[in-house]
Amino acid sequence: MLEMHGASRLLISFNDAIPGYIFSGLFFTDTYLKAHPQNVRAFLRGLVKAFDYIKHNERHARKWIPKYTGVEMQVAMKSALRHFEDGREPEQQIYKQQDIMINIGRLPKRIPIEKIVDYSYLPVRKE
Amino acid sequence: MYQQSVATLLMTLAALAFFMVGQGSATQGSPEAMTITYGRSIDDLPLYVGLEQGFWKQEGLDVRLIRLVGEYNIIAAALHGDIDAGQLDPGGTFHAALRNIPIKIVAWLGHAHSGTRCGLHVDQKSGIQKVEDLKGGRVADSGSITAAMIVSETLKMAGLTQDDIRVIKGIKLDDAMKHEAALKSKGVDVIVA
Repeated sequence: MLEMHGASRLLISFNDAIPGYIFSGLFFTDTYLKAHPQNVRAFLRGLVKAFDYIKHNERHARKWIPKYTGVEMQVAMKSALRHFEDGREPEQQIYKQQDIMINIGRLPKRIPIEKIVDYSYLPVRKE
Repeated sequence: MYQQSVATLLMTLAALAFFMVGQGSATQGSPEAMTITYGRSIDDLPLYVGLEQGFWKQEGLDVRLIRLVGEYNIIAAALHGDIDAGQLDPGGTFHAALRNIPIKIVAWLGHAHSGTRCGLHVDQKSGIQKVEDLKGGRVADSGSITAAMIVSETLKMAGLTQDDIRVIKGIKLDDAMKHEAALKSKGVDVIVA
C-alpha cells in the first residue's frame, strides 16, 4: 500500500526472507470451543467458503475492501493479498517460524503443535 | 390401522426434529451472535467476504467484527468473554501457549507468496538498493516479533548481523499512516510494513 502511495519501495518481501511466512491465525478460547463447538464449526465452514470465494472471484471480493478499511478503491484493487488455503498450514512451516524466534532469542523452546492448533473444527479437507 | 400408522409417523418425525435441535446446530432458530476481532486491514478480506456473501448468515451466525489491536488486549478480551474469537500472529500464539493460556488456533489466516508486498520498505529515493546496503542503515523497531524475524532473516541473507544496523526503537507502526510518516520523517531508512 505504501508503494502505491509513492511513499516507499519494497526492498525485500516476507516471502523472500521467510518463504511461506504464516501471518496470523484465528483463535477461540478452550472454554468457548467446549461450550459451542457447533458455532465454531459453522463459522469455519463460512470462513473456508470465503477463502474459496476469494480464490475464484478475487476481483469482486476486492470491491468490499474500501467499505471495511477506508482505503481507496484503486489501492484495494491492486494491493497484494495473502494466499489463503483452507485454514491449515504445514507443520514444518510452523516449526520453522518457531526456530527463527528461538534463534533471535524471542522464544525459549519449541512448542508442540498440538498445544497451539486444533484443526478438528475445520471442514474436512478437499482432496 | 391407517390412522395408527399416520400417528406413528408423526411421532417419529417429531422425535427426529427434537433430536436434531438437541444436536445444537447453529443453523436452527435465531442467529447466534459471534464477535470477532479484526485489524481493519486488507488482510482481513475473508471476514468481509463472509459477511457480504452471507456465508455466516446461512450458517445461523450473526458475526460482528470489532477492531482491537495488541495481542494482550485481544487475549484478555477473549478470556473475559468480551469477544468470541480473535486474531493473533504466530509469535503471540506461541507465547500464549508457553504461558498455558487456554486458547487454540482453529484456522490460519493466510501466508506469504511470490506476490507478497509486505516486507522491508525503504524511501523511494533511498540509496539502499539491495539487502547488503542495509549495513549502517537505520531500521525502525516497532517491538513486534514479526518485524524482528524478517529483519533477522534478511540480515542473515546478506551476511550481516544486528551489529551492522542501527535499530531505532519506539516507533509505533500499527497503521499505514504511521508507516508513511516514519519514512518521510527521514529518522529511519527502513520500516517493516
